[in-house]
Amino acid sequence: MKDTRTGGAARGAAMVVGGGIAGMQAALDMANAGFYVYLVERSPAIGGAMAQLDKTFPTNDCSM
Amino acid sequence: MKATVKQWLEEGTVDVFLGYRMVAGHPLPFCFTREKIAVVDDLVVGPARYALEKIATHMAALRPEIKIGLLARDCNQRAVNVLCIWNQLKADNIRTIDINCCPSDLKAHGDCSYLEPEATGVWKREVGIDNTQRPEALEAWGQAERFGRWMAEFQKCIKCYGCRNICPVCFCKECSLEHKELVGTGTLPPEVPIFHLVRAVHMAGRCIDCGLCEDACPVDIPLRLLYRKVNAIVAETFDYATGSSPDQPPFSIIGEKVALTPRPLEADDVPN
Amino acid sequence: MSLSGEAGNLTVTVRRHPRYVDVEKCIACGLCAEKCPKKVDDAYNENLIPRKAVYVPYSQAVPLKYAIDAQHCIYLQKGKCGACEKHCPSGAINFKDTEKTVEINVGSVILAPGFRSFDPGRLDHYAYGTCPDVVTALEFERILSATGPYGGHLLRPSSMKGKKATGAAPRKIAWLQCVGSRDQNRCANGYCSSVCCMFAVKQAVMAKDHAHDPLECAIFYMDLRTQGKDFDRYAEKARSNGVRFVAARIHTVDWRPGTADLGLRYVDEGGQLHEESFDMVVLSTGLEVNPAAVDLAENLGVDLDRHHFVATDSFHPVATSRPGVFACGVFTGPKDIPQSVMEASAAACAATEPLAAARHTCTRQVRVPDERDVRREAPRIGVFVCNCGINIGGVVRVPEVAAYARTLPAVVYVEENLFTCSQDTQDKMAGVIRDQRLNRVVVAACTPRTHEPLFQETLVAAGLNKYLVEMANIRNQDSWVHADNPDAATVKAKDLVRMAAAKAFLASPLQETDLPVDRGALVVGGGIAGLTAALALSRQGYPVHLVDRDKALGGQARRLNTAFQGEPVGAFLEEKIRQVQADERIHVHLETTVAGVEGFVGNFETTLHAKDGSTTVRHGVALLATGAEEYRPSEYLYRQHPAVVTQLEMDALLRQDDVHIDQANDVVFIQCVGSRNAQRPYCSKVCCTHSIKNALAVKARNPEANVYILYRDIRTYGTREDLYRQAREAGILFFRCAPEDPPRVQSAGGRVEVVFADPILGRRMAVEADLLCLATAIVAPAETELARLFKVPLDADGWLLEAHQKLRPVEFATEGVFLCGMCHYPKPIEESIAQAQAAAAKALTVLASDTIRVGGVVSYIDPRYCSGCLGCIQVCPYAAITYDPEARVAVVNQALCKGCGACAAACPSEAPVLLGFSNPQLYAQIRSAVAA
Repeated sequence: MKDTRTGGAARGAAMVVGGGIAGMQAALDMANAGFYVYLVERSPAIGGAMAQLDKTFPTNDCSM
Repeated sequence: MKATVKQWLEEGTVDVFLGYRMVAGHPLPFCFTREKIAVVDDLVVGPARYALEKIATHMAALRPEIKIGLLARDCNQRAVNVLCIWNQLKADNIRTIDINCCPSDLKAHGDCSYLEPEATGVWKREVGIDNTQRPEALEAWGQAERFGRWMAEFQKCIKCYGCRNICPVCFCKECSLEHKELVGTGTLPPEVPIFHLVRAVHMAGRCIDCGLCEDACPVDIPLRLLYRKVNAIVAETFDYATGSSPDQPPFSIIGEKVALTPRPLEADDVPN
Repeated sequence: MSLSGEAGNLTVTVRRHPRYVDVEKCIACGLCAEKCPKKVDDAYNENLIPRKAVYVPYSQAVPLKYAIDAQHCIYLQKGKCGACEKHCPSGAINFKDTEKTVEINVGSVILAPGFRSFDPGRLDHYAYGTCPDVVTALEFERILSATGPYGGHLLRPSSMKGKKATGAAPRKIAWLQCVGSRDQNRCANGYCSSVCCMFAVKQAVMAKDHAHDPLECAIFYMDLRTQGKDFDRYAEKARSNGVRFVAARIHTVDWRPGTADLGLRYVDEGGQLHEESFDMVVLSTGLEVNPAAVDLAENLGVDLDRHHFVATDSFHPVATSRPGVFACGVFTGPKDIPQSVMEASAAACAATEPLAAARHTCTRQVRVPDERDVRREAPRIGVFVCNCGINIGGVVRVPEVAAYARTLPAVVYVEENLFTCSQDTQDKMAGVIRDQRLNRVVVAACTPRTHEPLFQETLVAAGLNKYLVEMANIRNQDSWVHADNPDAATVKAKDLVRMAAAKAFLASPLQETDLPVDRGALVVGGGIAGLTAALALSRQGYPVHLVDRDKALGGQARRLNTAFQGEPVGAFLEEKIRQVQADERIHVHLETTVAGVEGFVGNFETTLHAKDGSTTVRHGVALLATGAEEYRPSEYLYRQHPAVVTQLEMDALLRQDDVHIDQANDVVFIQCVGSRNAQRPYCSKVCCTHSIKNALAVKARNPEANVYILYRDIRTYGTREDLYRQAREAGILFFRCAPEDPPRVQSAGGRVEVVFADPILGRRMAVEADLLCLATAIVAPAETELARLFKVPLDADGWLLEAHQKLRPVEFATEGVFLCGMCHYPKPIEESIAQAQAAAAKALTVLASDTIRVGGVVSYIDPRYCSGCLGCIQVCPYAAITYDPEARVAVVNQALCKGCGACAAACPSEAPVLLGFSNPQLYAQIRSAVAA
């Protein structure tokens, strides 16, 4: 399949900046769709703000 | 009634009709057929009670399309409902003729064998359970005493399987009561109370309160009382009136609507 | 971080900060932190307690590897100490670690830098920073958390000495909304942070739950913005459980040092002044973009809006001004978790669209050795007992458990590990399995929910079937809950290991087979969501069948004028429809309905009914985007008086330059018509913004007209708040009407008289309106056949019910079926588009794999024992069981079965066999449990 949109060979890899719930989700979806993903996070661990939450509406699931 | 049965058989409304016929002075279940239609004249209605619908399930298992007519008291009708719900009978293939049941405002005459409860002996009242009581009456005893009295009843069991064999809604190919892992074998009385409680749990969503189990029990265990308690729990928790209509789905414990709240075990719950 | 190159081929330069701990060597034993002499405020716990300078952010952190906080490390700052290095058993500390610059070549970049919580320390009138009992929402969240500073006990910070409480727990807590939001004067955050109302309601409910004594909770708010799915229900439930909602904005928290009294003064809606004291105050702090993220955007050339959120247009919610760079989450505007998750998937879809041709070119295939056939071998069980650092080993006497495991039948090998899950242990475990010829493995560690896949992988790498591993959870179910009783915990650990070994003894290898995936997609519904999803999938290279029962594509969007930022909908919609019609890969079926659905993920076969007959299409995935309808009111003289119109009719009047608008003296909008009532206890989400937009449009055409909006809560969440401000500046008049006392409308000739109570003036007002616009509810279609055909659930309000409201917002429990747009819940265009892209992204994860794997832990119904009672069919949540009328038994479709075991539990006989959890295995486990 020839790619016409980018004018040249597109890379089959992507980068996500930020390892919170949004960043992790985007990274997982791209990886599961056949792309190599680099996930970049400033802090020593992924998880972001959601990891600080105790329980979440509506299931009262632990955020972990 | 006999005319109706004959007409049904002749016109093909039903292929067979299940009723009673006197044999040696006893009314026994009998299958009336088109081929021997004259025998319908021997059809009787008396105080005898059999799970005719259970015979119907055996017939339907062999010939799924067979149309069956049967005599039905209220309890038979409830059993037919449950058997249709659990896919053992097809409602379209069953025709019933209502017969007398317990007396009520609508029925002056009743001939159910339950109408004259046997007198309960003093000893049974002292240490066991009076079969004629209502489930609520038992709540007056504390947990420990109730447990003790039930155990006294269960220990009489001779594991004859009469309760299961007569039960109109017992249809499983593989019965948990004969499962080695669930109920141990080789001892009498059987594993008490596990044998009876396994059966009680399996009655949830099935028992239609006909009382045949208790009739059949040679040692007079108040089984109907036990399953009435099960039915009360089912009614309260799931709002499920077993056998009241053929339209209910099978008793299903998974769903958005039902949330069982577990009760923490109390010291009193554990008998010594 | 910097960026060069063009979309599709970008070079990103990333600065990698030194961690000073080698993640390959670190086994997260925690010794370094134990020995580290330097205490630092713990940011994870909102600085309520300290941590050490060498740390893991929190106990479940991924990766579970320590890091050194260079700013506070004594060695790195002063060159002395090195305690961690001395004590580290694996030599993982590396003080010589340096910053590295890495260049990475990628096709696209997604920015998801998140937010920071507004710091109320910038303000002096809330006593924050002076009184310890005034806390932010995130601080309060940590206080409630079991892993938080007070172990999950609701306590006042002022009463804490270390981890011990010296004073009483709070009795009365106030939440103050809009701290750092909807505020132009004391901070520059004019927008609404969207999440804080629901956050406060949840916290109040949780706080009442946590408190041992009765707890009073009051939420002081301006407008209660619980516009999300099921949020209003939750808030109403909180209200009926005693959470008090007070419509007032608190100016100042009065605190006299030395007392526990926090005084609040407020004026209620009737103008009455109240003074009330509380012993704890939670500031519902808003969300704002981190300054570092602002710098990042500037470096990358990404435009931000006036609030520092990424400037996006409503039709491209995850695209930025720089081609190849996408954004999601709070960076594009304040939003809650479900919306962030949706946007993240949307960004994944948009970012990979231009890279579709290069799919699978950079990924790697894992090679696995052939599987050893162990069926004829006698069981040889290996047991690995984990210390989990000190998580298990600190309570359970692991050596004793290991010694006990050696005495169990068929156990031929036992090993203790500091972390059984560490990478080096995996390598070792694979070696042990080969050397000892193990054919069953028991891991006594934590929960299979998180760690079973890891050990299964190790078994596969060692040539064993992955279902031959069994886990005993001696952490979550033992050491964590019996931390105060090591003896009993050790006994329980032995019990759990014995049970696991008994089950493993009977384990047999389970087979998995691959089924091919049909590459086509079916999209039901040709509105904005359906069009977006169809185009996204087609551009990723997959054929699409787009079905709509209407004569034309476009759905409800055809009746809308503009999106909330003023973008005209019509032109955009036309272009979308044109693109769909021109797309070779999209097959449009108009005036067509779905009549039957067969099959399962990867292999659906759907019958479509059109006027000219039926067709059957094969597809791998299905996306439901069937939209919603406008409520047709019976109230307020609608259809009885010509001056009364619905919102969409108002759009039409504006579009047609209707003279009624230009000639009107008075125009009234009534909000929540048919929403938020007993029949429809939900918020229709778009109507506040829609009314304000239309009110502004009326004012723009006819500046002389008086425009009134009668509302319950104005819910202009996010940056829509700017519109609300503009409306007030434009002189549009807003009146809050209580739901108990709604406006009354009667005919007055060619006009209608609207009578309503104004609480502030304390008077009844009457307006003779030339035009009365009803902001009518959005209702779910009455038709539910489609849901039944696809076996997907509906909620109480008729919306399609997603698999998980937070984390799986576009999926169903039924695999391969996805949802987007208003069939999920009322939502504005930009959210419909994002959700459609998200649904496409999820669909892509199925379509991009050539095969789906079925089998493993699934149910099999033994026909010999099945009585055909249908009990299992009723309880199966995945509709995986069907009745075979010929054989008169139930049959499991293993492609649909998820192995939940409900059928096995429901069956009165033992006809269903849950593979991997067979009854003999469970009986063995139970026997072994009571055998002690």
